[in-house]
Amino acid sequence: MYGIFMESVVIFKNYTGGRYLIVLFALALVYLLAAEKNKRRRALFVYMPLSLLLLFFFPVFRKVFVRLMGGEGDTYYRVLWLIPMGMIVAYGGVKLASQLYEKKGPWAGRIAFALAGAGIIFGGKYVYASQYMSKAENMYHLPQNVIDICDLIAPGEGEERIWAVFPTDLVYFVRQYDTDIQLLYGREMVEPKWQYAEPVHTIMNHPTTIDVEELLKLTRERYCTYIVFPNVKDKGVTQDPEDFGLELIGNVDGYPVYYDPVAAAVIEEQFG
Amino acid sequence: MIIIRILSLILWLFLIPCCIGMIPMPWIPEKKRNPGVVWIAGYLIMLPLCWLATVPCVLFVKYDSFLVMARWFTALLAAAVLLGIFIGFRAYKKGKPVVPRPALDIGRMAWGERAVWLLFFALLAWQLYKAFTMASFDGDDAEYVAQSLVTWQSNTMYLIKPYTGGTTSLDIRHSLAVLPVWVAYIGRMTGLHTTILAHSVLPFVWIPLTYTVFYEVGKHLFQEKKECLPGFMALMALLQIFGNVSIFTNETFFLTRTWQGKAVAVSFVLPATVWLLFWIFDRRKGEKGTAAGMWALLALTNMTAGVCTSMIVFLNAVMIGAAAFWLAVVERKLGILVKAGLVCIPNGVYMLLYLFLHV
Repeated sequence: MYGIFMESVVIFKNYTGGRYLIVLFALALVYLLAAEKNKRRRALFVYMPLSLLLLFFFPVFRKVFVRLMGGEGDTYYRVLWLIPMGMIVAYGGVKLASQLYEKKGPWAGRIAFALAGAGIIFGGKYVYASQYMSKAENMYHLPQNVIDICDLIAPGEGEERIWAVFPTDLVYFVRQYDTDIQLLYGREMVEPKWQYAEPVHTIMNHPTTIDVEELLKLTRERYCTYIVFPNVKDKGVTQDPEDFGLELIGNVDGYPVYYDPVAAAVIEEQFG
Repeated sequence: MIIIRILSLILWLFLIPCCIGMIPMPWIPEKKRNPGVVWIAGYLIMLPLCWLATVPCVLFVKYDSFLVMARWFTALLAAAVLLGIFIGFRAYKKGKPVVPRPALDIGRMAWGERAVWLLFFALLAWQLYKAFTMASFDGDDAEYVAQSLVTWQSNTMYLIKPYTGGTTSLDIRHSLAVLPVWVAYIGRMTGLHTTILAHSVLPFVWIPLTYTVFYEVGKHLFQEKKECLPGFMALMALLQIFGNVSIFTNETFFLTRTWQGKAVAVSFVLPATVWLLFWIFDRRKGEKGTAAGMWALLALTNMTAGVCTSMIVFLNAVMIGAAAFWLAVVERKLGILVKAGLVCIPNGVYMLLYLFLHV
């Protein structure tokens, strides 16, 4: 039980990111506990959040949650979503500012409001500076090189869907643009935390060199007609893919795109 | 072509929800009604209708299930729009319009208030500008966004793996949270690629809709001191922009994964639940009007949670339970617990269906 409790403590720490915004929430909660006279608002903005916080740290609740979620303990932080932290901070801040405005004068109220705003800015973290944000290259908000590659290999209107292999860094985006392009492996294989294994991905994910002969053995078995190799800056190949009959149809932003006529012939032979 | 697309998006994302949102208005106290409430109510009805049209088709229609769903959903939406217009028209004829007042009355404000409102709208505009011009990488998009596109392109639902395109037996885990199907439906009706819809257009719905909910919460909390409302809204907007203290917070989900079901659940459904709890239980003495519409909206909020993500169905019931417990204690009324239990019936049905399909 103590171990489960400590895990919850770690989850809570990770959630708050070690920033002072959580202190602002605690201050707002304490202030409302002292200053809020409306009993229903106390129930919803003080007692309910506190009891949900207690519930979050309560090991039995965590066990029930994990059981209900089919063993998914890594989403336990979502229990903290139930505490309306933002509303409590904003309500507490404005209520305090308004109280000071009435009792100490307009400037006291304005300063308190400005301090609350400054507390949020300096205690928080600017979302648009996140490492996951970047300038959008198009309306799809997908990397333009993925769109260019997909346009190069996508089947035409009325044609059969195709199978393709993409390097790890691009697999997330391909089927957000065109689902007529099917992948031998997708996001489920490239997320390290899921630890799945797939032979084509194992070859493509080799840290330095891709064994072309081994790769083609597997892709041709699975009727894959297009192979996009990793960016030439990042990885090499054991042999020139053209030695095995592949045709280079383009090089998009450093990603060589090959068509495999041998696989296409196999498809033609077997399915007509 | 672009103008037709934009008009079509306005129709499906603003006008239709607003027509539908008029349905519960006669059962909501007049003083609480405004265009924002109508718009929120529209989504709280439209999304559960999507669930009702989608889930039976997912479970029982073998071929082209999306086409069948689209027909049923269109029929349900048409009926709801007609009913909403009828209710609105009848109320207007009686001289009691459904929406008697504007959301904001700028004419009566002091200059200081106007300045803070300006600050809030600048922060909101900044968020919308960034949502349009910045791309956010999230691995879950390979599931959510691709799911909408698969549905749109293949006319099937939850039978194709979004990650690879391989066929699969019915994906029960995700098939009850049908928001990607709703996105596919809007994509089909407007002719817009669902990825553009999700990444570039829907933030213009979910972000303002969330702030409309915050506005209603603030309006309720500061009903005695209306001049404080813009300050509340400005702090809320700052909190969203600077709430990215980790990748787990609701603020981070709100602005970096705006289009995903989890983000809609955490930024729209959960605050809407808090808002309705305030509306229902924190009524002023002598406040006139029935609470039936507000209870109905709370039940619909629970159903909307199920449209977004299965987990929030459970969590929203936990929140309502915790709130009802404390309200019952402070009010010394056990009946509150019973009513809260009744309003969570949709959650119970959803969870039972989820477990039944998993077995």
